[in-house]
Amino acid sequence: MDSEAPQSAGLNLSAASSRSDGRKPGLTSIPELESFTRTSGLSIDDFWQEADGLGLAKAELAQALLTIGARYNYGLPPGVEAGRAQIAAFWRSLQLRELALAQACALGREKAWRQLLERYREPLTQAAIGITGSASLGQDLADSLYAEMFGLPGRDGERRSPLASYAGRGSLMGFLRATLAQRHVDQHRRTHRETTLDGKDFAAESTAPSLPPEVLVRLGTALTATLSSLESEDRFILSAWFLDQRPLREIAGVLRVHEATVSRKIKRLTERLRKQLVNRLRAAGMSRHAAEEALGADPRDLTINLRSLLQTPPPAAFYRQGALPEPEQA
Amino acid sequence: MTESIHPRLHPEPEVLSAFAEGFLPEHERLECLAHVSECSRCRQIVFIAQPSEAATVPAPGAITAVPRLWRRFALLPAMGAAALALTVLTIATVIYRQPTAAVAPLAQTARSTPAPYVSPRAAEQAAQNSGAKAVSKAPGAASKVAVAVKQQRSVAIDSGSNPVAAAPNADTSAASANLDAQSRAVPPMSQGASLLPRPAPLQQSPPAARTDGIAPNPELPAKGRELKAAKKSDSTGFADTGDNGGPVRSRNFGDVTFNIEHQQSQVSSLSAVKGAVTDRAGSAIQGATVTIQQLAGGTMGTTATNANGEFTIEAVPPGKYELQVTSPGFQRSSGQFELQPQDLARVTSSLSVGSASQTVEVAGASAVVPTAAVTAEVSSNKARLLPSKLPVSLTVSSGNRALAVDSAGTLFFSRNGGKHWKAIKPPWPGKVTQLIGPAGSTLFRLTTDAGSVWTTQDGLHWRSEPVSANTAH
Repeated sequence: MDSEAPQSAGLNLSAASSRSDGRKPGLTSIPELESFTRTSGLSIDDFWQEADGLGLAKAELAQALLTIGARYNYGLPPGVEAGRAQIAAFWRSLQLRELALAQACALGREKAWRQLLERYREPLTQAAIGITGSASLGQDLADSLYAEMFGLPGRDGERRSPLASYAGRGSLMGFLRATLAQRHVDQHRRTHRETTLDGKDFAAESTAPSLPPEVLVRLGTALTATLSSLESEDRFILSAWFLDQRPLREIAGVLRVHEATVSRKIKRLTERLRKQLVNRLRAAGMSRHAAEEALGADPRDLTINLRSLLQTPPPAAFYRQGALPEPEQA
Repeated sequence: MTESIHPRLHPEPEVLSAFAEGFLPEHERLECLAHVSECSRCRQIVFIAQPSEAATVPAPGAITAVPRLWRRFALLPAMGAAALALTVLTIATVIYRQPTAAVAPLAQTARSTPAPYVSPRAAEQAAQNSGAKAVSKAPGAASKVAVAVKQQRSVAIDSGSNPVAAAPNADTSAASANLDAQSRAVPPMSQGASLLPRPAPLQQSPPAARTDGIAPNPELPAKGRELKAAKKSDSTGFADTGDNGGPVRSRNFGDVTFNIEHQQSQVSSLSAVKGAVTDRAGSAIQGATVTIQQLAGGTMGTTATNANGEFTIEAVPPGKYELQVTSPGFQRSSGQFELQPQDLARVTSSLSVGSASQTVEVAGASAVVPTAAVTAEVSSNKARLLPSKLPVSLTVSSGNRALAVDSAGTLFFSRNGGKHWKAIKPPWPGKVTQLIGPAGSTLFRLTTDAGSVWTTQDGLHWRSEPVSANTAH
């Protein structure tokens, strides 16, 4: 099962409005939405008609919009009251047509499914092949996702489809790709948790004289403190570059910056980390020479796990908004 | 290491895809980034889910940002201005560099501290590569020539570390490996230049500092027409050529004048070179070494002037030659000329005394006649180490076989490129005064002070040849 619980096909306003913070959503009913669209200049009449062509009733789509707006607080941080301008801007930023298609598919509308398959089957299969690196595995992955997206009845008999979680903030193809990637990663991590060691080339044990234990302890402490103080973006760059060994292009693509920017950041970041480590070691009573020498220690001599240091569990859960479904643990 | 799966909550694919596509609001992006930076699973999903061109599907009816037409060409004016500026800069650079590149580099090169002599053949090759016209017209070619000269100079400097290589003997650069194949096809020189007894004994002197440049090839002279050959100035590397092959006015040093007379040589199909060497005052210079070398790297002949300052080199195959005249205490002088069959080149060389900046050692030792054969096979450094411990007077080589004559006129032979020398027991009376490299069917040819000519096929066994009627003088 995927890590996120599929949304109910029938988005109801009550669920959307039952926020954990008790704050009143901006819009709570379809009449309010219709009134808002008329008064705010949102010309979505064509959109209503297009949704109707997919078999999606106006009320169903309006309810989905209200739910999404409430879920994400119209793009504003939690606790911030959304004004009419923010609400209008939020809805304008949505991929309304793709949202309508996804909602219609999640509700099992045949017209929407035909259109979805017609538009996304081939690119989704290609994306799956690209993710898995195999034509057969990619085809299997894509087929399994089709079946899942079509919706499986839950315990309560209600149809559940991952497409219902699509909020229209990104492209539908991006959502499908991310869903594919999530399925593939989870499958891979389940099946490759124990891998054979045959053919693996392990590094030889360090023959160099190890540093004194007290120095290693100080170094480990300094490393822990330094890496713990990293900003999220710095931590992401370090993890993606050193742990995942992702190319600069991919890191830059995620951060929406140029590759050269990432390269410069990596360089500056490592220099800064080195300085911080030296300063921390000197603060711990070591001379500069000893601190520099300690930085040349073999990482295998350290008792700390650099990977786990960088991958420290976040102090708080990602989801803070009460409207989010409760994901299951990976 | 086994990745620990994050026990906390993971973002939905919708959030991750929006994060990857950059659609998340800032506060949510930071939250997602914080999670992704610590969660390898979600980081992996984000990276995998990054859109690829092949899988990108534009939504039908979706508004795609099409750049306006004027924006497509917005950079055209800037690009045009940049191209124009680059063109102007290039033209300005060419205009600025042209006069200096054509003259100044070479002049500066030549006027720099006196450098060891550069092989004339190498200089000629550089001249052939670039062309004399290009030197004056194309700055790039001139630069190349300058570079070539510099390279040659550097080689000469390297070899100049040994005294012999730096000595004037090296001027008469002669047979190299190329000499063998090329000169063997050339008819042998007859009993060449008659040589007078050695001049006053002079110690091997340091080179008259020169950096030979490249002189333009002189025009082929008409019969009887006097041609002042393009003279190589020892300081500038270039000779001022007069209009229409007129007299050449020397810049600094001695002058060489060629007077080519056709159908004058008495040896069939071969030519001859006769001349006289004087100083600026017109006094004959005895013992001056006159060397001719084919510009194509072939036949070489070396002789010395007699008491009247005259010399003769006969049986010279047709071709382009460079003549060099050296004498201890005088500036080296050289010029190029071209011989047709049965030509007689009359050479008049007027040498200037060495300048103050040049070191000319005059010692009362045995005579030193400039030699050739600064080759890879026979280095002057090795030739210096003759068993007689006397200075080298003449050297010539063919492949690894080499001959050397010391200042006493004793002949030495080496079969390993000059590493080891063996004295040849002379079947001839007197001293060896001239050595000629491979020519025709003979490997080496020598002339004694008695005028007898001897040839050999291997350097060890010598056979006397009848004296030609065309003996000099």
